[in-house]
Amino acid sequence: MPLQETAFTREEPLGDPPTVTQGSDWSLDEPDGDFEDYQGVPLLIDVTLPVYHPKAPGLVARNAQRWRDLLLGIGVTKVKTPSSNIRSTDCVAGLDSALLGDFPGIFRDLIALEPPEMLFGNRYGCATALAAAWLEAGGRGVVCAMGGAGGLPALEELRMALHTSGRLPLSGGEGNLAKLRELSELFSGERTKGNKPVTGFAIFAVESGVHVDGLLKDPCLYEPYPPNLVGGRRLLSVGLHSGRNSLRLKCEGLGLPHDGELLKAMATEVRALSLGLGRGLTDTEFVSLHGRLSAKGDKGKAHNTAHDKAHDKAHGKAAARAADGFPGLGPGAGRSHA
Amino acid sequence: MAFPGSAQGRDAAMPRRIRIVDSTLRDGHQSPGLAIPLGARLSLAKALEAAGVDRVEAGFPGMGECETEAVRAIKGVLVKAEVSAWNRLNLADVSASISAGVDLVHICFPLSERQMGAKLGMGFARAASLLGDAVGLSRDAGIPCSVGLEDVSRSDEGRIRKAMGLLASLGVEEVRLADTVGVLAPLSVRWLVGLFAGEGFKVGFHAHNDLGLACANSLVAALSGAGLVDTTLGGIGERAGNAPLAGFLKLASHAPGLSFGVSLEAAQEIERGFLPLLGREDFLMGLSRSRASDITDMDTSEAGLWKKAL
Repeated sequence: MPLQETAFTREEPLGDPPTVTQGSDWSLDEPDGDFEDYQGVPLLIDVTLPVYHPKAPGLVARNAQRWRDLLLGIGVTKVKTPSSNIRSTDCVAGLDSALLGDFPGIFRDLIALEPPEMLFGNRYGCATALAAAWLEAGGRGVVCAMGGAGGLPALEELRMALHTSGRLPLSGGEGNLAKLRELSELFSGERTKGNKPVTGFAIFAVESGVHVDGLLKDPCLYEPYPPNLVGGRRLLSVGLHSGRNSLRLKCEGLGLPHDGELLKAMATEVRALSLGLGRGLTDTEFVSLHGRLSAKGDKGKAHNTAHDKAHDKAHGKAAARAADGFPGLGPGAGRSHA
Repeated sequence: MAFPGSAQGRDAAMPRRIRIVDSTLRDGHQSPGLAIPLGARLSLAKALEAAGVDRVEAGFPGMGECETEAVRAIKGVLVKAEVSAWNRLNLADVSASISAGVDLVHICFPLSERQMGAKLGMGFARAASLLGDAVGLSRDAGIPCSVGLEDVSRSDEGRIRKAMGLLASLGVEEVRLADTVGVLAPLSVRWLVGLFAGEGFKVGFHAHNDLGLACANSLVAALSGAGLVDTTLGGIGERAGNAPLAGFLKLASHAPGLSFGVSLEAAQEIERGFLPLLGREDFLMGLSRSRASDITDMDTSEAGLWKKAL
């Protein structure tokens, strides 16, 4: 099925609340809502739509179809329709406390029985970990939902666990997880936390000198997967823990001239300023500091012109050419991630 | 809740004491946007000690004299809790930690082929020799040290066993297994911790939350033989963060086979008291607003609360 190009944003008209049942507009082209079951491949069974149905006003037919297409694009091959049951009749459910005991043994015995669906409970906050362990042990069908909705294992975390373990590498569908996040925000009415695993928008922000240096040498040193794979991007923060490499990158991103002496002076000032403020610096503060220290060093007119441009940029006047993550270290740059 | 053969049933009579290593002032502090003034760091360290945290990882003296002073000051205000400092694999860092007067020098040993090659630019033999020198330097100063196997989660078994032999030959007793990019799943944690614990090492576990597994993995580590578990307040840390102190203790409270020096209530109280002051949420909100360009003008009206609080 071709992907629909319709945008889904918070501003989108939400449409009428759903009142229909299986077989009506809610069906996703397949009679039972399932896609082809690939033998031998770990199977994530997405039940996000039935978890939110019928309370989510954004869960209109068009978005449900879009949801399915996005999941298909990242290799999630079984998606339940909004009106499906979250668990099928042959689903094995519970095991909330298995992690506290001999979970490898329990899983080994259960896997031999080939249960078509496993639904791990979240009484102890371990649903995702249980599901990850189940897949790690060679289990297959796991019921999950985006963002761990309904107390279920988090689909996006399991999907990336399968990717990083090499059991089901994510090829294609770059950015689909970010789009799924936006759709699920529409369904839930809640913003995703900035540091939410996999889908948080701030998880690829970096400041410390150790980490920036590492990322410059090889991006995968401090990233479990490339940001673009999940629709994320690297962000460079400047503050207390910034080293000279970070400052150099920031200067380059903002079009500011720099040399060794200036960076050395800036490193000291940035640390002092951050401690005084109790936080990292904004771009405007950074540009201002650069201007002050450059003037001290009497770098000349050309320097000041560059500084003015950078100042405009920091104020958003040149947002169109704003640094995309790290200069020279764009998404996917460097060696491939594991 | 009890499963046949579960840990809580088996060990309930004699709980095993797990030591909490709080890394808020090191791994937590180096996450983007945080800059905790010294006075606040001292308050936080004292609060962690009062809550019963066994060890405070106070910082990274290798950053410079300012940070060395901060770690020294933290050491100066703590009576009961151990103070450790994090070090890269070089003698200058270790010297800085020694001069800060810490109780324990923690040396990071990048283990995976990728870390060792791309970051250190050297092979195993050269890195092993450097580690020997660093351990010797710390020991000569009369300060015990632990070694962290960075990126152990992406190292192959041969390399892991080689590192284990190296640590044994150097007489290193404490090893921290660092899931640097947070990709371990529970079965691997169990295997890895069991491997080192089985050889008699005192094992610490350092989780990252990239796959949402930090708390659960830390618990599995503790149940598998780790004696030290790393946490940060609220799980602040690089990317998706580390194992949160209160979150971990809440989960671990269901495993009666384990005991801790910190109560869940104390951990929750300290997180309630300190987390708002870190300004972390403001930073994340600022990032949210500046998604289209870069980290830029955050609304700073609520940031820098540390300064106000002080």
